[in-house]
Amino acid sequence: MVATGYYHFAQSTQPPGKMLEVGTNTPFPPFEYVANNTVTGFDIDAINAVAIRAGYSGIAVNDMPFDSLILALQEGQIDVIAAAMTITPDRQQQVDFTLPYWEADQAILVRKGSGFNPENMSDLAGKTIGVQTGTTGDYLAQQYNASLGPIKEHDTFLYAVLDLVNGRVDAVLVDSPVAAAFTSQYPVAESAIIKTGEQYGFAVRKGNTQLLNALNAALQEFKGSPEWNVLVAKYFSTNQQLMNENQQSVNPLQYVPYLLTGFYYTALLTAGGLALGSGIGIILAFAETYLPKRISELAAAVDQVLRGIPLLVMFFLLYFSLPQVGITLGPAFAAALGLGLRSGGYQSQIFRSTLESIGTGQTEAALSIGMNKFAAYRYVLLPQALRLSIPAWSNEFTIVLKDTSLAYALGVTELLKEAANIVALTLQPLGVYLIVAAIYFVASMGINRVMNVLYVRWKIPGLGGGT
Amino acid sequence: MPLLRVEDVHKNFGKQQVLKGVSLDINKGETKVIIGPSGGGKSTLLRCINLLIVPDSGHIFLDNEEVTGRHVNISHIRSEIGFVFQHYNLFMHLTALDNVKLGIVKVQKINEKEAEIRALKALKDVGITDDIVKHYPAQLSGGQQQRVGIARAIAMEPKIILLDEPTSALDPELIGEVLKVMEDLAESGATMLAVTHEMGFAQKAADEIIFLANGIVTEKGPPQELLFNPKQERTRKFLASLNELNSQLGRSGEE
Repeated sequence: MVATGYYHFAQSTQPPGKMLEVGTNTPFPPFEYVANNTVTGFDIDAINAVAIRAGYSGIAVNDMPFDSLILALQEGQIDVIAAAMTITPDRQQQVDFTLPYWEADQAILVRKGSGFNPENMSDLAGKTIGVQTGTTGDYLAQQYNASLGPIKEHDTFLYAVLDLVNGRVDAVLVDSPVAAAFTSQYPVAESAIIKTGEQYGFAVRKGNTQLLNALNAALQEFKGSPEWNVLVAKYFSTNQQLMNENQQSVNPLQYVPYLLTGFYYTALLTAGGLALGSGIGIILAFAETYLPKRISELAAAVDQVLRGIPLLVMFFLLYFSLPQVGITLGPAFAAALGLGLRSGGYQSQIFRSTLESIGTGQTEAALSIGMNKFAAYRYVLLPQALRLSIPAWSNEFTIVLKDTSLAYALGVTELLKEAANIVALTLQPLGVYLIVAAIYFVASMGINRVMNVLYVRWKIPGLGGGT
Repeated sequence: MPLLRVEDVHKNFGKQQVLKGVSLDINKGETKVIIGPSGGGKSTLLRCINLLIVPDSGHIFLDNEEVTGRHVNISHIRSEIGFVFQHYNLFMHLTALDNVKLGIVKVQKINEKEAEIRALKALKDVGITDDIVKHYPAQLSGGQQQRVGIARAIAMEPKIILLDEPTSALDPELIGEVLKVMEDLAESGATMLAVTHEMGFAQKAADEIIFLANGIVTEKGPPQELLFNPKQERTRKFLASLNELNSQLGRSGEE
């Protein structure tokens, strides 16, 4: 009855029609993974049921790196984490957890037929262990760090298991419900279960008692309902069924349409990044080449900073750091902006070197007929510099294209992320990533061809050597 | 007051004194020729007049307006001064016609149609025929390029035209066509200040020859006087070496 009281309290304070912003991290089947372009899984279904019981109209799912979830929660980008997150004292200092909704122990996976059958952590002494970064298996391995061999941290369990299959690690620590999904699909076996008493909870922002109470009440009600049993059966009692469902089509070519959907975002990021980069590059090159010393030095410094920051760091600064000063960007926008800033730094170098090759005579002539510096740049220097820049610029084009894959880290569903989602479902990394590589290759080659055609078409006799 | 007055102009590049107090006047319709050894400050002087180089001290007046004044619109003044370069400096990405049109359209803000008429007229005046007006600079001979350079300057209808060794980068057989255009220009009443060592042109067209050496005007006077009866030893030596060079090249100063 207390629970019901909480429930009513929660319901009366939540405006109807509001969506609960949920953060998760795919692929982590069966808890969260992407199928048919939608994030789904045990956690997603569970938090959706809980949210509706708590008076929300539904959930909006934000797929992001596991390491970033707590930060995103603290920054207010999401309301709740539903990502098979284990309740640990460390995390409890950063977030508030609901009552546990799932209890998982750690399974030790080994290669089938390897003859290696560890029964506990001590048996793993000196062995190479694969884990997923930030998971309980990772923490467990770190605790035994002194006695274990090297610990290999992976983005997802899937890659840890692939490393195990390929002999790069001797054992993998995974949450036991997931272990079953892998043992049914790969030549790996579960050699032992380590009881950790590990419990998964949903996490809310520290001090957000109202939401916490509402979710707890709704969760308790949900776990007592028949729907809970249906959900558990759907994702855990028959893992084989889940995998079979997802493996109906074994030909990776069937996934090309999905990959092309991902490529659409890759193309958008490329176009956005390049356009922004050209704007920045043209302005910086002008400032560095033609403006007074103080301004040109400032432009050169900006240029160096833009080129000096690793792209991934730039992404994280824009996506995770800016919210701390009140600027919150969407992941795709942050990625396009990061690509644009970095490319601006490189494009300014391209334009600057071509501008310098044009020679002062052109500037003198433009100034002599009464143009100011800006007009001289706009009508005389830039048209020449842009034409001469095409070969170097088409190189930059393909670099930006390929670097869009780093937007994966912000959870943007571009080509690589799409592929990772499909691999998580199909467990066919060979075929899928080969297709991805082919798509990038064809796109790069296409860009180079088109640029060559444009270079020839726009070429002016005597400009840039030859006739 | 003369159309152009240059008054005690100094210019240093670092420790090197390039102009050490140069003064000269040009009245409307006059043509004056500057001669002198290389490094004597001839090009620097011309570039000071349209402020491509800012003089360290001294005053320059064009049509009663002080070019070296504090609050002048430099771009506007430059648009009133035609400049012809030794290496033509045609805009490489534009056709001959567009080279001439660009300033009319973008600086004088005259509509395309009228600009084209004016540009074609200027090109015709320098003997660039309609069949090559759509050629790019690299498709033209040096003589043709320099004539387009002159057309680009005169199409702006400038108050004065400065020519910086306009024929010295040309092959000998192409010099004549450019000199002819310059002579026609002088005859038509244009005001011109030319740095050139073409003594034939100086004799025919110049009202005065100015000998500039070591950053100062060493001697000046009408062509007949300065060429055949120079007063300074320095001028005499220079003219002698110039004659020697010209006869070695098989050309005479009086062609």
